[in-house]
Amino acid sequence: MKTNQKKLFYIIVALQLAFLLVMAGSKTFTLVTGTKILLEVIPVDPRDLFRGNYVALGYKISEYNSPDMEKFKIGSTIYVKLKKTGKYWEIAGVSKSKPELGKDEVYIVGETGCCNSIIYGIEAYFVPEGKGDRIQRSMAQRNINNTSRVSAEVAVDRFGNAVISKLYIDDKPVEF
Amino acid sequence: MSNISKNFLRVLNTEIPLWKEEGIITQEQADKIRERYRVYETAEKGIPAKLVKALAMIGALLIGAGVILFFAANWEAIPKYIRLIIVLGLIFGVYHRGYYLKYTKGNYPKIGSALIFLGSLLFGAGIWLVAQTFHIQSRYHTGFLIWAIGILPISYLLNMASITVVSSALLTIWMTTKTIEADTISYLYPILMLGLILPVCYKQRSLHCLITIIAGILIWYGIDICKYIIENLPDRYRYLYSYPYNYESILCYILYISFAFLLYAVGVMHSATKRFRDFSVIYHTLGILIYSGCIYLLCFIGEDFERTILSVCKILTTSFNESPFWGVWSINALLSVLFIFIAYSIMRRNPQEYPVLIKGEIVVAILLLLAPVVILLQLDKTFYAIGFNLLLLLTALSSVVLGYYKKQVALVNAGFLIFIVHFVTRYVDMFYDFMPRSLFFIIAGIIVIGIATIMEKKRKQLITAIKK
Repeated sequence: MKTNQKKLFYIIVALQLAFLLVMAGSKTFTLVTGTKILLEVIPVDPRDLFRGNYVALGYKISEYNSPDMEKFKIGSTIYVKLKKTGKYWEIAGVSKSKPELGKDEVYIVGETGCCNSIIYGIEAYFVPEGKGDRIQRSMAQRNINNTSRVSAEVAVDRFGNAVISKLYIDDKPVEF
Repeated sequence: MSNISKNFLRVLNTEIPLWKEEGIITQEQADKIRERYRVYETAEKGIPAKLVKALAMIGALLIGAGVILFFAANWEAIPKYIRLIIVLGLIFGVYHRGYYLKYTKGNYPKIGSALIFLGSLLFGAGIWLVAQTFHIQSRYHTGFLIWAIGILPISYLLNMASITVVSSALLTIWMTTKTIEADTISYLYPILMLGLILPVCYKQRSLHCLITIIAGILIWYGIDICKYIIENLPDRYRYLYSYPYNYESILCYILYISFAFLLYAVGVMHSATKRFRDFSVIYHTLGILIYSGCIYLLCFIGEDFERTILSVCKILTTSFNESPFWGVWSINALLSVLFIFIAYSIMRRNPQEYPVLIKGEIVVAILLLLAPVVILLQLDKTFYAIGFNLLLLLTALSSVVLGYYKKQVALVNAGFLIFIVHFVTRYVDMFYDFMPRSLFFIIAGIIVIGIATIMEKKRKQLITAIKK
C-alpha cells in the first residue's frame, strides 16, 4: 500500500507541476507564434484586490456599440474580428463563430460583459510593487491628436487567444 | 493493569492516531482508550503533539505567505522562465522533502505534514505567479477553483485534513469572487462542496473541515440563493421597502431559519448513527447559532416593523407560484423532515441504545420549526415582540439542556452565549433612553459582570458534570 501511495503522491505532484507548465506553455505559444497587434489603451478603475500591484487596462476595442451586439447574452463567447486601421487595430465585426479573415486581419475570442463591453483576458498589466503610478497617470492624458498616450502590443495566436507582450507610453516601451 | 508492558503502551500511543485516521475508532473512543491505559497524546520530549503540529503548520503558512509576497514584489528582477523554474522546483522540493520526512524515513512526521501542507500552498503561489507573469486577469477566480481542486487529491491520499480545510476555504473564495465578478448563481459550488470535499472531510473525520464547509455553504446561501430569490420576486413587491426594516432581509432571515433547521436535522440524523455521532455536535451547534442569530435580528421591534412584517406575510402568502422562495424553503423543510424521520426510525429499531433524551432533539426540532409559523400568524407588534424574545430564550434553554444530556460542551456554551447577547441587547434597548449615560454604563457593567460570573460558574458546573 505504501509503494502505491508513494507512486500516487508523486503522480499528483507531477500533475500539479504539469498544470502550471501547460498554463505557462500555452501563453508562451501565443507570445511566440501570435501576430503582434497594437491596441489603443483607455483608462479604467482597477478592482482586483487579490493580486500585487497592477494597472487595469481598458481598450478602445473593449466596447463595441453596434446592433450586432444584441445577439449576445452577457457572459457568452464572442469572436471579434480586428483589422489594422492606421496605427492601431480596430473592430471590423463580431460573430458567434470563427470569422473568415482577410489581409491584415486577426480574430480574438472574448466574453461579452454588461453594456456592449467585451472582455478579452488582457485587461491587467502586472508591474513591480508601487511602479504602476506612471502608467496610470499617462493613461489619463491624451495626445494632441486625441489618441491615448498609452498603447499595448498584444500577441494573438491562430486560436484567437491574446497575451499582452509590451506596454508603450508615447511609443516607448515601458521598462522597470 | 500492572502486567501491561511499556512497549505495549508505546505502540498503543502510536496506533491510536492511526486508528482514528482510518475511521476505526471515533475521537470519543480514542479518549476512552487513552483514559483506560493512561496514555496521553504527547510527543517524545514531553511537548504536546498538538503544539508541535500547530507550530509546524503556522510556520508553513508564514513561509507560504512569504513566498507569495516575494514573487509579488520582486518578480521583475528575475527573468520570467527562471522564475517559473524556481517555483516549480520549490513546489517539488517541498513536497518531496515532506513525503520523505513523513513516510519514507518517517522520523519527523509532523514537520513532514507541515511541508506537504506548504507544498499545497505553493501550488497556489505557482498559479498566481504564472497569472502575473503572463498578465492573465480575465476569469482569475478560476485560479482559486483550480487551486482548491488541485490540492484535494493530496489531502485525500495522505489523509491530511489541514489541506481539506484550505481546499474548502478556497472553493468558497472562488464562489464569492465569481458571484461578485460574474453576478450569476454558482450551481457548481454546492455540487463540488457536497459531492467532493464533504466526502473527503467525512473520510478524515475532520470537525474543523466540517465547520469551514458549513460556513461556506452559509455564504453561498446569502450571496447566491437569497439574492436570487429577492431578485426574482414578483415585480409588484419591488417597492415594498420600509426603512429600517426591509422585507428583503426578513425574507433572508426566514430562509436562513429553514437552513439552520436543516443543519439541525442533519445533526439529529448523525446522532442516530454510531459512526458519525461525534459530527452531530457541529451540526447542532451551528444550526442553533444560525437559528438564534436570525430570531435575534427579528427581535428588534421598531416603528415600521409591523408594516414590514405584514408586507412579508403578504409576499409569502400570495406568491406561492411566482417566487422561488417557497421552492427553496420547501426543499429545506422536506429534507429536514426526511432526516429526522430517518433518525427516528433508526432509534426506534434499537431503543435501548439511545437514551430517552435523544428524543429531546426532536422536541427541540419542533420548537425550531415554530418561528416561521409565528411570522405567518400576521398578528400585531406586541405579539411578535414577545413571541420572538420568548422563542430566543427557549432556544437558548433547549441548547443548554440538550448539550447537558448529550454531553456536548459546545451546545452548552452556545446556549449561554445566546443568553448573554440577548440579555445585553434588551438591557440597552430598554434603559438607554431613560437613564443618564454614565449611570447606564455603570449599572450595565455591574449587571453584566454579575451575570457573567453566575453564568460562568453554572457553565463550568455543567461542563464538569458533562466531563464526568
